[in-house]
Amino acid sequence: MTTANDANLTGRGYWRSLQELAGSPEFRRHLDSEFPDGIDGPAAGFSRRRFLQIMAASAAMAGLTGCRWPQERIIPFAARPDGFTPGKTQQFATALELPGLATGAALLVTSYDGRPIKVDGNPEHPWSLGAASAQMQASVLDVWNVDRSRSPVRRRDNQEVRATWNDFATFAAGQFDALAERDGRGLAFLAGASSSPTRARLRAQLAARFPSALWFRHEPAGDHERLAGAARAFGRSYRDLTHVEHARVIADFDADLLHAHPAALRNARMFARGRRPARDQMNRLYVFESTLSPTGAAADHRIPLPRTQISLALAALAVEVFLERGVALPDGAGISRGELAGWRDRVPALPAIAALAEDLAGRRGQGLVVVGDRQPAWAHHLAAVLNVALGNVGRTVTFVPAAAPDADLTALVDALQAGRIDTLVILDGNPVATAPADLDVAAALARATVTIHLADRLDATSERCLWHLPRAHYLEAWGDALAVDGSLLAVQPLIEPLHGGRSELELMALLAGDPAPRGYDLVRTTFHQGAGGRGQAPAASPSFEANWRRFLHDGFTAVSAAAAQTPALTGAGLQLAAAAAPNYENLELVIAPDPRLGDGRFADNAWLQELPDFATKVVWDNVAALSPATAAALRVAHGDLLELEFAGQRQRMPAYVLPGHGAATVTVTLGHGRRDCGRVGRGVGHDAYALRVAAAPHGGIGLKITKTGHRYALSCTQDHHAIDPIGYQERERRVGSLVRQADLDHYLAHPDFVDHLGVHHPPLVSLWTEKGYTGHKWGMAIDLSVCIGCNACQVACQAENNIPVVGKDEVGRSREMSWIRIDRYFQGDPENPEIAAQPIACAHCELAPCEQVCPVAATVHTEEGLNAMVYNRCVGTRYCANNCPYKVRRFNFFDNIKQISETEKMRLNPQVTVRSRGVMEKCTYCVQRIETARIAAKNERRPLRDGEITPACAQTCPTEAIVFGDLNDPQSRVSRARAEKRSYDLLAYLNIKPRTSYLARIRNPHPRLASHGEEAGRPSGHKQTGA
Amino acid sequence: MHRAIVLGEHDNTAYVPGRPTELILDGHTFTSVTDTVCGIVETPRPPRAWYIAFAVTVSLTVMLFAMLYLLITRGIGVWGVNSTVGWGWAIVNFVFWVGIGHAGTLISAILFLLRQKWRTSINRFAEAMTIFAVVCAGIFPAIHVGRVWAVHWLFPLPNYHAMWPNFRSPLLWDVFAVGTYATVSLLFWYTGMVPDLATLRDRARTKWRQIIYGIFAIGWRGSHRHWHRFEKAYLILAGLATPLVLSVHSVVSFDFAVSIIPGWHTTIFPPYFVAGAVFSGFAMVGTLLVPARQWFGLKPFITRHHLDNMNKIILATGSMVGYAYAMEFFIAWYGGNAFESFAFVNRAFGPYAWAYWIMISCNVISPQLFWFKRIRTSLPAMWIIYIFVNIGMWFERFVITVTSLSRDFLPSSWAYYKPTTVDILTFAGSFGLFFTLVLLFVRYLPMVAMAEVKTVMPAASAHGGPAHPVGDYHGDIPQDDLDRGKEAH
Amino acid sequence: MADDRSRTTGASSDPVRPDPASERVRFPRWSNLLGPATAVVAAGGLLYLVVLVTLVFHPRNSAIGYAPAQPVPFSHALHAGELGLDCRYCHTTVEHAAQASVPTAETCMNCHATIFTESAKLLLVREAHATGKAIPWIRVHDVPDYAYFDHSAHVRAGVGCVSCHGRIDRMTVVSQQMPLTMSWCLDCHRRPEPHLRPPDQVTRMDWTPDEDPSVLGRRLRDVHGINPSTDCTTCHR
Repeated sequence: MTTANDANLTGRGYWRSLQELAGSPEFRRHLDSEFPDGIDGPAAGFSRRRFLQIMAASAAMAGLTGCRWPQERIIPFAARPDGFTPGKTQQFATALELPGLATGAALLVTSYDGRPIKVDGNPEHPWSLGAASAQMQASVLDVWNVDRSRSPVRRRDNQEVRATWNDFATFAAGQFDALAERDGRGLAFLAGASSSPTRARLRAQLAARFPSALWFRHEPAGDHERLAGAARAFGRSYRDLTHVEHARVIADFDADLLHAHPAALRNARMFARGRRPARDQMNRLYVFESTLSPTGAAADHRIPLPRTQISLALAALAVEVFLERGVALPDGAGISRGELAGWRDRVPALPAIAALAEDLAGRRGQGLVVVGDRQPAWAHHLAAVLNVALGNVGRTVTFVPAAAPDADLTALVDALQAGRIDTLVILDGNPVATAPADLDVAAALARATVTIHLADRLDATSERCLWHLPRAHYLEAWGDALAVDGSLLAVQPLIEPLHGGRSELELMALLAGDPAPRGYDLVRTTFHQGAGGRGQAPAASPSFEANWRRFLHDGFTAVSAAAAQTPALTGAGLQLAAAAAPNYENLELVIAPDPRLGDGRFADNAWLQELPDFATKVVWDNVAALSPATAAALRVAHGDLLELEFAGQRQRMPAYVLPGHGAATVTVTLGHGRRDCGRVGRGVGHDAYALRVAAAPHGGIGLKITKTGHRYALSCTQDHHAIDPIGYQERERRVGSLVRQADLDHYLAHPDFVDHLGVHHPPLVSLWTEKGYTGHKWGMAIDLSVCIGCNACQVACQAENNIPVVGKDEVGRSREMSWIRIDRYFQGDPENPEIAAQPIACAHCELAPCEQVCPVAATVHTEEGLNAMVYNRCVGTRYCANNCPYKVRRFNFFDNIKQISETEKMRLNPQVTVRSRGVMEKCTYCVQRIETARIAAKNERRPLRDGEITPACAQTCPTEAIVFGDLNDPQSRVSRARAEKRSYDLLAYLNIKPRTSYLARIRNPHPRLASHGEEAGRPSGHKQTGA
Repeated sequence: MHRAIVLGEHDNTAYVPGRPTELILDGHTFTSVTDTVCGIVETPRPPRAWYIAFAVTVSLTVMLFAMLYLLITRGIGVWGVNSTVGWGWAIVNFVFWVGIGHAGTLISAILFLLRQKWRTSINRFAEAMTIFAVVCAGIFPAIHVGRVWAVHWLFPLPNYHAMWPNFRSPLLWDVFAVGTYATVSLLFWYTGMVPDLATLRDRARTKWRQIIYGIFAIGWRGSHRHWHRFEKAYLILAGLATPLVLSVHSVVSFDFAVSIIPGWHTTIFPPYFVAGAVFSGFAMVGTLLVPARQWFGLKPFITRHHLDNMNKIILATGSMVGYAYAMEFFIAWYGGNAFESFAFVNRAFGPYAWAYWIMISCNVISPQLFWFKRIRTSLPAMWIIYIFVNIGMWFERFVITVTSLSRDFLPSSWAYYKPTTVDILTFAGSFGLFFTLVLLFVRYLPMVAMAEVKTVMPAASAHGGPAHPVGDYHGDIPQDDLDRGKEAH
Repeated sequence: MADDRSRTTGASSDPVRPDPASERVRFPRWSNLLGPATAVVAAGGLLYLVVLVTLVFHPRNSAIGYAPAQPVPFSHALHAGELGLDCRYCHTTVEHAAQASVPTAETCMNCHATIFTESAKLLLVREAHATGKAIPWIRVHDVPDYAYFDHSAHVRAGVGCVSCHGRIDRMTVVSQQMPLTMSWCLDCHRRPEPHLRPPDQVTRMDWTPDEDPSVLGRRLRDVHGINPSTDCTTCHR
């Protein structure tokens, strides 16, 4: 059962014993089959599923005994650690530094038998609140990736030679002592953005040892503009801290406030809390963006614009606010009314701007203007001015000091070319692969004699460095970080480094002269010195120990609200800059980090690769997205392979016609098409770095598109095939009844509007007396008003329930396995449609159609109304899936789990049965959690409390859109949600009585713009009824 | 009556008042009947054509098993089915073959009870075809499940999980319906064949033939009592089989009708499936008989009259099927359920319209040509129409199964189903198996029920008048025969 | 009527061919027995198969009595029986976790640091204690991975260890005593009374109720509100 057996030895000690095991032939075979040093395994048989190129070695089983199943061994601890119970999971607080954002996210990681198996948000931390993004959750998979580098590598005459850390230590000793003697002249460091106090401390130590060493920063998707803008506005670089809970009017200029923003998790939670559909209780969200983001989909008003025009829209807002609305310019605005007036006719005239200005001016101190990282510094400056002027600073937005960014990659390349650097230490990142295309980092690296690269893989940069050093995953190493609000977060390991990796901190300490650095000591010292301890008592004193323990237990030390600053404007000149609008001859290119793979750091993560993009639903790929009108004008069809040319750089990408995309604009995402990562991500998609130039990192005007004449097969989890007119009309007709929505006014006028949107049917009666539910009656409610389609639930479910990844080809055959999916519908004007997101998982119908048709009773109803799926009884007729109106049942067409590596199997959740080939599976409402909680309650002879059971999806949902509980308890949150007027059942007319119900989506448009909503297919009484 | 329409054959399709239709032509006597029919089986070596055909079909069969091996070792994923369209060609083929299996029982049972004498010439062949079709059909439900090795859970066997199958599931009803049908058809076929086997035994020249036919003739001596029992048993089996003709395909149709999928959830399915089944069954019988009678000189037995009657039945059932198609559309519209009506609009004009129109033209339009006697009696014409009907009926099952599933309730999960090579080869392989069995049948067993044919020959009646119907043999068999029968043991 | 004969067995007197009676096979009388014989053989064979499957392969016979030799010859008869150690002394987590947990070497050494310190049988234990290298015990009571059994739930409910493990206190080598099949589990989940005892008595191997077991069972069931579920999800997740 769940005790350790052969393939699964108990405890952290396991990894020590792994080294011992390593001698055994089976284990050798695993290694050889799993780590053939970057050589692709053979394609996995019949279907060429990229992900399955990792052929799993057959599990080593002890000999069979008679007709019994394989003999299992029980490996008890020789000495069991305190508080450890075999078979029970433990949770540790730690933190992850989000790529490029230099802020940490507080996490709670679940460990089973000393193996990290699931990542969740830290519910204690105010800026995580128990939620975790898709990336954070998927990061646990990277620990178990089989393509991580497993030893230092030294390059001798272009031969990669395996070395040890000791080799490096001896080398480093000589090399860096020499450098120290000449004050580190010729020494340079290249690092990513980080908020770690310990790293800052060690950097100071390095600076002390090597006074004239240079320091560079490389972040492909950085926030330079934001910091620069703040620096200009306030005199030093700040990062703005949004307090959405106080905001009634939110103006989002390309910031993706609820999804990609550093504070997205808390923003989303607070945004949702501000969406109670009652008069004067709903906030209003305006979004100006070029491509379609979850924030845009959630907006009350979404205005698609070319990226370069968004900052002008902000200028237009300033004009409207300061000139039309007569709001006084604050001191130190850096711009005069006259100057502004000059812009009146140079900014786009948008009806939404006037409405927004009216709202903002009408709600001083309750508005919020945020600008995205891809907007120029002056836009951030202007936003700051607006927020100050509208009295928002200190209420909806405060500021946290941030370190000014160091010189960037361009400077480094120049320095290298100028021969000013002979020793380069790359602490993080993969500059060769992620540098702008016009920056020849590879050649520059060759100019340095000694190059040292710390990385988790032998990537393109490692291949050009003298030394490659394996980097420890954040779940393997000690560290610390600062959250968005500046609170100190603990990064503590859950497992010893699998492949002998070391952390950035340990390497820095090593170079700083510490012969045997231990991450634990480094972090503890920092804490002691008060960087986060805030002037603790000296070490060893009980109070320090207590604080340190609490710090590790909680995972963070909170900061006082006072820490949030409200600096004053300096009055530095604010120069608005005009930009020509793109047109069909002269397109605009937008280069953005991928919502799933970020800047490419997660390219080797199968969960994220197979996670459908919110807007396009594309998996295992990236696309060149453009609006229908643009596509029509350019005669580009969906799926055409295009040749993009920008600033002399060329790249081929498939076209994706995306409703609601900015006009004359093409968006491509970074992070795909990597040739230098592991087997999962290698060559998946198309490398957008190839289009990037240092001068225009976010793209710009001047994109040329030519059709190659080839077609490209994209795999999507929705709209699997091109849709014909009949299907299109029908979909348009149905959406209204599937995703029911109305404007606030309409809702207040007709609270029962949902009943008029569904199929009109006679009263539903059953032919037989239905069974009653006396005990618990589990049910779920999903609030479409606040669901932003961020995909977090999908990854949470995948991690919790051991859902296999099937690869691009299989998804292309519409065989994706995800138990919960997010249906995304467009409605109305293709250029600016209504976008509706609807999470769909098994609804556990009381009169479940699937149960009736299963010939072997493998899916049956429980006393508490769960639609149980018994894998070990299933023979796989697939009749249940056919008969499921929601199509949420998933079939194992191949032996998906057998295909994953032995190492990765260590991550599987032992509380959930692993499904074999030929078996049907589906959402269980996380029955394992229900049973665990029930047993706990029974053992304590007490009833289950509401909220005691939370399915993985609900647990991680940033907006609390998913609520689970007992429908027989009128006080439970789910019962109260269901009691709401806007609650409705999907396809209720089938009389299947689903246990998952939906809360209709209520929008809060500006009264003057509401009409637009009506046109865009918002319900007007019965016209919309889906059938 | 005008002779010689085509191939200078005698046309006995005309109805002449006061004169019984001659069902057996060319002045055949009992002996010559025996000689002709047994002759086919007794020739030391069949024509080369038979060997070539056999080689082809056997290799196809081998491919079938190769595909099954691939399927069972790799998983259902080798087929084109997906999460939305869970049933593909496997189920289509199953329904297709089961349907074909219907002509046999219909001819043997119902026409027998209705005293349709003309059936005697074709029932043996039709029954054989039924068995083979059911064999082919039986393969698919077994292998289309994800875990073949657990398929026995579909049967109510005692087990230490204390688990029983779910008797509410139509798939379980299928197991019993098809099982019963196969058993009864087999019994029926064999029982009817016993006297002929005895004849083959008695005429056999080699020991092996004598022994083997002997064993299967289970000691038939043709005594009066034997005939008496035989007729009783045959009558009873006919009575048992009759309801099965209706039940099997009704139950098969429940697989769809009982579900909630728009396009499946229809009350008209049972009768419409049965009509369709008979329709396709007769088409397949015809497809095989027309060439067979040419090659094996059975023209005098399987006359134009027989074919003409079969064509009339095809015309009738074909029209029923056409009516059902129309009624489906009407109800979809009249029922006022948007999902239902879309399902049908989508069939006719959606991504699978091509399949739908193939079905319509083959099943509804082509049989209508049988209103013309010229076509009903023209061998090439009727054979082409048979082929069309076979194609059309396969597509009917395809349309019902796939189009309904590919677009049901939530547009988000609509998907398109494409068969893989494995799907196609498996289907082709099933034809291989079918024809292999047919070829073995024509080689080793009497293609025409001699005993029964003789009963409808004038000579069978004591006074040379109109033949008695099968069943009353009083005094037909001279005493010395019985005696010889006795001393034989 | 020669024709008529040809319809029956009359080929013999067929004028067209010489009488092949000479080489005609005549089935001897005993061959009439072939029919019934086949029937009997078939029926018997079927019966034999059923018996084979139900008796030989049934876990009741294949699994019961499984007693592998353990790396350390630990005798429950000695420790639990003669010495009368409580099960929970070693299986510490049995009351609050799914797993009863096999004791650590430390637990053994609590006593064996002073008793039988030189015993060769205890070599592995001492080694484990010294090096921290685990002792690879062999699992005896093994339910399939897709069946989730929770010790705490059963022990708290008052199901005695003996109900599933038998008289461990008499086993020198632990052996499986119960079939551990699904139907066996269901028997108790449907009618738990006979297996219920006061929670403080669960570990007593030789415990016998001093009243009518069925009465006691029913009472305990009511008192502790024990209503075992037979839902699939109770054991299968």
